[in-house]
Amino acid sequence: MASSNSASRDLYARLIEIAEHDDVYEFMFAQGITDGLPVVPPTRERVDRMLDAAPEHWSDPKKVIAELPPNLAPLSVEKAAINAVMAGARPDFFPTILASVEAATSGGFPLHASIATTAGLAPMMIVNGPVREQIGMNWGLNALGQGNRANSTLGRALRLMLRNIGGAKPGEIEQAIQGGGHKWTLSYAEYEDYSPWEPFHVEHGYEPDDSVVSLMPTTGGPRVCIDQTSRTARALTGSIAMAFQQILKPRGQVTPSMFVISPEHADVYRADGWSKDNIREAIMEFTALPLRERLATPMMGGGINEYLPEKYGLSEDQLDIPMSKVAHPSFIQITMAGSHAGKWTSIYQGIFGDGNPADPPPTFVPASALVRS
Amino acid sequence: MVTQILDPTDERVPIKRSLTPRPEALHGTVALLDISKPRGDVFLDRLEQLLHERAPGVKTRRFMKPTVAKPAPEPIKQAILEECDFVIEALAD
Amino acid sequence: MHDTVYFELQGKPSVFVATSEFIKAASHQAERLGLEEVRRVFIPHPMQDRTDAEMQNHAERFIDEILDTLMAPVA
Repeated sequence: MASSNSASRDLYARLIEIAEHDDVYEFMFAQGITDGLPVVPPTRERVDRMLDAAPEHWSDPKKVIAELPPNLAPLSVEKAAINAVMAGARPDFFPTILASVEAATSGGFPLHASIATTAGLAPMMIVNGPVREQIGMNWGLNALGQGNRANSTLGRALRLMLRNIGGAKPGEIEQAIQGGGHKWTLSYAEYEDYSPWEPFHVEHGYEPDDSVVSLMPTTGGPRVCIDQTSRTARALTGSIAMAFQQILKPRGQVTPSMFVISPEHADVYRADGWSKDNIREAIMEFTALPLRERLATPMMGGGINEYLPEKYGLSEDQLDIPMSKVAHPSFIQITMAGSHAGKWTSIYQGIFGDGNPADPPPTFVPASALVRS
Repeated sequence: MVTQILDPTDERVPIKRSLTPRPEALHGTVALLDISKPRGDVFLDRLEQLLHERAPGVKTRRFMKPTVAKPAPEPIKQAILEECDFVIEALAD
Repeated sequence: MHDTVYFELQGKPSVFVATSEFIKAASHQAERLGLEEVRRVFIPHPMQDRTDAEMQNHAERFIDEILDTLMAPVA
């Protein structure tokens, strides 16, 4: 953590005076700088406390972290701190928030597209490593829901920066057809200690003691699969796979999606000794249909687009190629969270993706960044 | 008491820029930049044929962005700057 | 849109084609990029469920507008 003296720190943002007779909250709504919910007024004192918690690497308030789309506007540490205050974040969340910005702008995340697309994509944030506990995140009961300050504000801070700095405003450049709760916030920690598998960040190449933020673009969720009765990993995966098959359009394919497995579903996998790859293979198997059965028909328009075979020059034989719900097993991402009182798995889906079935896409790797200290 | 808050927005005023002057007529090579949205290629295929009918002698070159998600990568930009005189970008939905 | 503005600023007359859903978004984006008058043409939305023939028909209907918009003298 950077040592600093708040009182003497130079700040660069414009100071806005709100007159005595004005309501500060109403003023901020009127300025169009909120997401529709109230924001914490970013006073000099609050912003200074946030900046005091910046990692050494980001100790200079005017240092630019990234250019945020859609306007490709520079986000300085100071502007990040202002928006983090507004989101309701505590200063000790700031390093994790900055890591989320780094992950979102690392090039591995489709940030511009997720804002501008009609699909209503938003980043789902998964936090791993020691920082989860240090900032009091929730990975247990209601981890994907409301109530925990860190879970609630981390994703909101990133979104407020995209709005206020990047210029992502609904109806202007942001074009989500329907939107959803994930457009306000969506962050959780993984229940690493109870997971039958290595933590999500370790799976993606980090050390267990690293604190890491990972992002997945999602059009929403949770699509909950409740299966209280399956006692084998294969039967349980069959249930989850069929829930997944129906997502977006039953005959269509979907881009990388997150499966959040609850502890009791994890118990079933632990008992049968299933790895994440076993789950991936089974979902690929259970959702596989010959390509011809994924094409739209007069009875069911919702298939993959019927021009695909012609576009890719596929032969009649190639119409028998099995196509699963996703084009590659790595599109099935798996984490663990939730309470021990029910056998649930929550799916957060990507967007439709019609790839060339004869030319599978590359392995999907979620965008991630280390939380700096 | 007067409350003071710090401006959370991008305070830069966009720099005013202007269009490139137009020549009298099309000439040289027109870049057809496909932003790689589904169906855009069909539109561009036909547009390319029509362009040749409307402006005989004018050449076309096709470029395809690897993803709609980001601005065109540097090699595509360089190729267009070096080899083309006009740009038609399509098709966003 | 970013690309069209980029090429325009690099001295290449450019035009951007989108569907009509994007009239407002394009206007905001153009303003933010400092080139409000960036040349653009809008064809009817939607396009992803259109047949080849319908897409080709759009090209036929809009080719002249696209070329006229691209080449209109700069005021």
